[in-house]
Amino acid sequence: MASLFTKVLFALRRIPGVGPTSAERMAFHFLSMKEEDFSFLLGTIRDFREKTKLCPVCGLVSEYSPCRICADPARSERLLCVVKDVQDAFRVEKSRAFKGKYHVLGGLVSPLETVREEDLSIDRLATRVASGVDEILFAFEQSVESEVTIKAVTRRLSAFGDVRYSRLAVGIPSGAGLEHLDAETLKTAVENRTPLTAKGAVKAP
Amino acid sequence: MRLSSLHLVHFRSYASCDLAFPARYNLFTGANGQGKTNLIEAIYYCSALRSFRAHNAQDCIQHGRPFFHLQAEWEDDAVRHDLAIHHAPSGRTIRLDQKPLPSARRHARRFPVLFLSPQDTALAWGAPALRRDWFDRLLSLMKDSYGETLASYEKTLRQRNRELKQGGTGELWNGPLAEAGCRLVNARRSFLAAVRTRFQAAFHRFFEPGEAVGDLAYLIRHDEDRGPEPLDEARFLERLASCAARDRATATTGFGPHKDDFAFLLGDRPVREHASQGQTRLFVYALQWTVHEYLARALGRRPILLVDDIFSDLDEKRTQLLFEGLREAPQVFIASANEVLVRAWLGDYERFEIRGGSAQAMARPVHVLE
Repeated sequence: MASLFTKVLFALRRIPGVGPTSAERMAFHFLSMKEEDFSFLLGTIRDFREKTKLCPVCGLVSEYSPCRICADPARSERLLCVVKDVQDAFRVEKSRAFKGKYHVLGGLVSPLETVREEDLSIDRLATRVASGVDEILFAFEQSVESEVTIKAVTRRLSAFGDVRYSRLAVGIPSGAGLEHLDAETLKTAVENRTPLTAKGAVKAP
Repeated sequence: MRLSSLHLVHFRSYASCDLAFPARYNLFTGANGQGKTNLIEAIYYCSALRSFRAHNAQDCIQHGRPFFHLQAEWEDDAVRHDLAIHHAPSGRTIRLDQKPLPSARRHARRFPVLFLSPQDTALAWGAPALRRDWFDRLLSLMKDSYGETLASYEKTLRQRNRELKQGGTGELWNGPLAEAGCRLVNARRSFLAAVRTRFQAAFHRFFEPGEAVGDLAYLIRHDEDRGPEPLDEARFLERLASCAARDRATATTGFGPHKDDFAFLLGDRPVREHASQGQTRLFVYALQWTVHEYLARALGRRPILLVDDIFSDLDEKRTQLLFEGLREAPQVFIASANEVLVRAWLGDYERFEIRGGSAQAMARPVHVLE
């Protein structure tokens, strides 16, 4: 029969990004923690798991229903950022560049991973669009699956007329030297070059 | 550009082996089954970073050993570069000058090799997939964007076929498939158009005047009568639509560059059906020669030639022509049991005798200077 130590290691290694060495370090750290610190850690994880739910409107995780972003009157209802999953929504939110609301699609169309068009929350998105949306920004990675998903979503929303669609720009990452870029990224950056004014300032979109 | 030295550990039949290559022409000689081709394979691996015969690099690990290790010293513009490849079942690490290699394709372009072997005739008589793979590798070597488009096309094709298997129409994938597919078809046809004249000249070196004319053509399956104009996405989508019912029934995609073929022709007749064995070999060598010339121009450097006993069964004139061609390469490695022939044509070369009935005895081949 496996020892408790082995069972703890086995359980910890099921956490994404935790390998055998990290699992061992964590297990020994649990033993050396003060009782109140360990209880706080366990309690917080339990609370997080019990009280956090998916927002019924956008699909983000939140302890509120609807989530704080959906309930925020300062954020525009008419601008939606469609993301593949909750993590991507957090990444966009961390940039503080987006002032609208989110919609989590739940994946990208990929028959190889058995994700079909009907597995995504496109119906819920259509309901939101029907109640008035001016622009949808697709915050997807660059891939064939993203292209196909955008096509599937826009085809489904075509009945709603005047929605504007956009996707994240592709090109040179901030701070990256040209020597580190592959030919395809540079080619896309050239194709999506940014217009400048006569004084060298970036033209407003 | 040349290879100065090679160190093998647990590679194929070699437990451990150190070789220095100060000369331009190098001959690996010895009886059959002693490991001559294994050395050619190791050199090829140090350029292409893959084997020319094993689909899985695990097969290159000496039987019963946990890994193989290759260390090569490349010389480029009088600067030496150390390449170290370590392959174990858990993964592979490649370092050039003690740093992780940034791009395998860039490495293969910087230290190009061309491998010639009697098995190359399979290119003429084998299945279309063999020819597509051969040309795709070549075009990917010359242009990163071709390799990237090919990878994207293959992934899209897999997605479309899986959707067809799941009972879908695959229609959502048609757009990306057509976009990447047109780029591949047009790049392949442009390449053939660019090398066709050079190939015909190379062909005439090997064949007597009056013999049939050698030619290369690109065949688009289900659009065979197409003229030389580029394939556009509208046409691609039209052909996909015409195959839709069949695609749904078979759960595969019937139109696209994965179905096309490169035709090898003598006059207007396929080599595979009308050429003799000797003619087929010479046809393929003429093609390899054309590629050697083309790569030299495209990469700005001539590839090193790796030659695995291609001389047997050739008449004197053709053998002479092949050896004349070898003289144009910056460095040549020949694996051959027939040293007399090599001595007669090359004269000055470094000789490595590969011996031993077991891998252990072969660990350090006897190196005899002429």
